[in-house]
Amino acid sequence: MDFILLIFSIIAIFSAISVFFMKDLFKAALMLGVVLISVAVIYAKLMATFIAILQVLVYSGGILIMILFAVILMRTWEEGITVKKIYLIPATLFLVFLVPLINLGAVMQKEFTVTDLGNELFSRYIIHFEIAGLLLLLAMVGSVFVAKRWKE
Amino acid sequence: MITIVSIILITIALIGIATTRNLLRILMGAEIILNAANMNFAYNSAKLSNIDGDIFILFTLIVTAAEVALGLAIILLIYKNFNTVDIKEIGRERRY
Repeated sequence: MDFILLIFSIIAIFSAISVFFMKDLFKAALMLGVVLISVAVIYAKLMATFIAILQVLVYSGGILIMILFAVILMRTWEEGITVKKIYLIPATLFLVFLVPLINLGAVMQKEFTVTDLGNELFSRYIIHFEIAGLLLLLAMVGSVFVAKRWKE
Repeated sequence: MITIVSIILITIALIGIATTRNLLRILMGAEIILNAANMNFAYNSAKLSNIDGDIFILFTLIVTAAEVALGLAIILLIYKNFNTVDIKEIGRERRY
């Protein structure tokens, strides 16, 4: 049994719950960051090292900061979801009952390096790569176009 | 095990999206769903020793970045027009 995998899965699940239950929207966005970094740790345990680094860089470096800026800009003090505390007991019981289902399938030992990813990305998936670049350009232009302050 | 965690995360995010009323929280739920799906890709890529899953995670990352940029721009526009991000109030006082 992989102990680190288990711990970070539980952290990811509970912070995903608290994303929706935090009353303050800013704290909810920070809990989203906890989910993203736990998923990065799980990637690293699954031997996808480059993907883990990319997850920390892109998600918690770029996307989370963008979401935090938006939250600061338009924060309203509203209530989170309100569910009675007693309902947390069957939810945790459900999690406990899921534990025997844990199947520790043997994960391979081969690790894909950045070289493998780059070779594959620029040979078989070159068209997809170009289309992804076009998509990013379109998203950038489109978001500037949408959020622009138009003169009346 | 990773599959189970992924299923639980997707369920939590779906319930959250269905019950919350804040547009920003809905965007965060979409992030969680995409991350859970990516976890599944990474696990199967490691189990089958096949690199296609890792490549697919890269493309999902790109699409997610584009989605968040456009989504936040649209939410900003909604906030400027309606002065709220609550979907109930937006539906109530729709001007267009």
